[in-house]
Amino acid sequence: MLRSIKQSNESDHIRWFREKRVMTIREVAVRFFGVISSETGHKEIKICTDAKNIRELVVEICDKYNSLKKKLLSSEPSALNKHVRCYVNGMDIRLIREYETRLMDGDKILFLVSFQGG
Amino acid sequence: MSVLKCRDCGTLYPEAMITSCSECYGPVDTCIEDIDRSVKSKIESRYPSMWRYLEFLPVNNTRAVNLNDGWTPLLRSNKLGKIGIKDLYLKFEGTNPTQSYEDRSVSISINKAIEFNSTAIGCASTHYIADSVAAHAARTGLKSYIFVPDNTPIEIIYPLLSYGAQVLKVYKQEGDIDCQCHGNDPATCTLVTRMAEKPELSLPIVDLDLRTYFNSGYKTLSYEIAEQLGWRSPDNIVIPEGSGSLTYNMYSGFKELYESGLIEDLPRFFIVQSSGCAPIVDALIHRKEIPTPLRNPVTLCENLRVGDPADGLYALRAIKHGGYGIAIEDKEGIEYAELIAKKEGISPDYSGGLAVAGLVRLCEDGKISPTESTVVVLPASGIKNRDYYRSDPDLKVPRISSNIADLQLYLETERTKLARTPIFEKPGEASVPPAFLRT
Repeated sequence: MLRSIKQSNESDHIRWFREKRVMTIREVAVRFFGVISSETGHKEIKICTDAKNIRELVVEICDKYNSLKKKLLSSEPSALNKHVRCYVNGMDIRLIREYETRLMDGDKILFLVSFQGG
Repeated sequence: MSVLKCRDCGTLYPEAMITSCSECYGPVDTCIEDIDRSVKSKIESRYPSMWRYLEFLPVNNTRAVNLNDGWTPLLRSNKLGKIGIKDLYLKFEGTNPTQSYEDRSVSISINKAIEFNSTAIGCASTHYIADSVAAHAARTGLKSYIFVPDNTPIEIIYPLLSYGAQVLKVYKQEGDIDCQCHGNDPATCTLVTRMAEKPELSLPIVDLDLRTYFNSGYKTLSYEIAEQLGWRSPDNIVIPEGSGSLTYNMYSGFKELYESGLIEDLPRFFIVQSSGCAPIVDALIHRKEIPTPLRNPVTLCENLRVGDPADGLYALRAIKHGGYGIAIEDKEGIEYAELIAKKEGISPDYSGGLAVAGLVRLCEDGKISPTESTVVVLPASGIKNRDYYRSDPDLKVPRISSNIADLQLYLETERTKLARTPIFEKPGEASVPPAFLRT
């Protein structure tokens, strides 16, 4: 299939990617907690995304909420602010595959500012 | 005192129940107004409790919750000094009202809760903080709600009930956050996180919603140590650490004294963690800025069982000024806790034993010089380790009959044994008692 597309003209190539993208779109629920939700104006949103992992999702969220970009991301490329914790279905991504944690259809993502202390 | 300051970006906030900076999401701390050396005489004229440092504390009135928290003894170690450390002091926090250092922080938090017109207070804890919240709330007439994991044994719940606290067991359900802080219980963690979004509940959590003020309590340990040493700082401070908060806030406390001109130097900070839960030490060794969380940490020191130390990165910053960190096996900590009780007459909890065991190792490794003055923080009384003693299968108490000959034989054997025992015995070197005494 890929070979045939490579040989085909540009419009076929783009169409193939569009079809592929449609097939991999996932609907995830994103919950913003506490001080983060004041930036987004929403506590919970549902996003249809083609982001494969948390890294891509964070970039997509920051594109959607521009004011959040400065606060949610750290100076390192596509890395979260050190005070922000991200959970996928209740699991801290730092205990899974960090930013490479894969997204599945129906995943519940939570962003919150870490608890100071314990 | 009416200003809060972001620890990272320095943004200032008016006094309120906030814990995170809205600009960078960093933690927010209380900051003191300009204090000069003249405050020393005022402090020294006051009653000996942590409230004598009023100028440094984030309280606006004198309606302080007073259970005489703080002003715990700083004992010069007589026999442990034979480990080879010349100038060794033990800061024993077991004389606080509920026998732990958490009384300091809880006392300030509850005072602030009253200032913010709260009529109830909450916490998610099964140990030191829970006991302290129940006691201080009872003293002030506030209703206290203690959230504990569903499997919490009744032995832990009973003392809380005796203070009139309302204990609520929180059971697990789908969707709980798998949190590795605050006792590592997902259900209670999730509940208190959700509560933070519901201010209308009017139930502030002492170490979350009031965290900013809670931290100030830890600083009073630094003020006391400096004053008890004649307004000077020791060369080294050794702290058993879980979340990193105690180290960072004690460092801040000494820094405040230094900036006020009350002391001339800052101490070096050394932390000791249990080897079953040492994310901060691990980050130090691997030169990471932020500790990596640990899943299902294991340690008998309940106060140190924090898999995700939220103040870990700040504790690392405090250590970097000439200090170091070390991980010690629980077994060694228990042995040293017993040794301190036997040789110094004060019984610390296991985390205190762990700190002394860490100090010995740090001296052996050349990180601390035996000629330097060193203070070891013993966070709580050994009475807090009641669970372990109950479950120790090797714990044997000698039995005798009412026959006086039995007692005479026992005492003779004991006296012969004592005559042969050196004054200082390292853990593990103790002679084995005769078989009949172990039955």
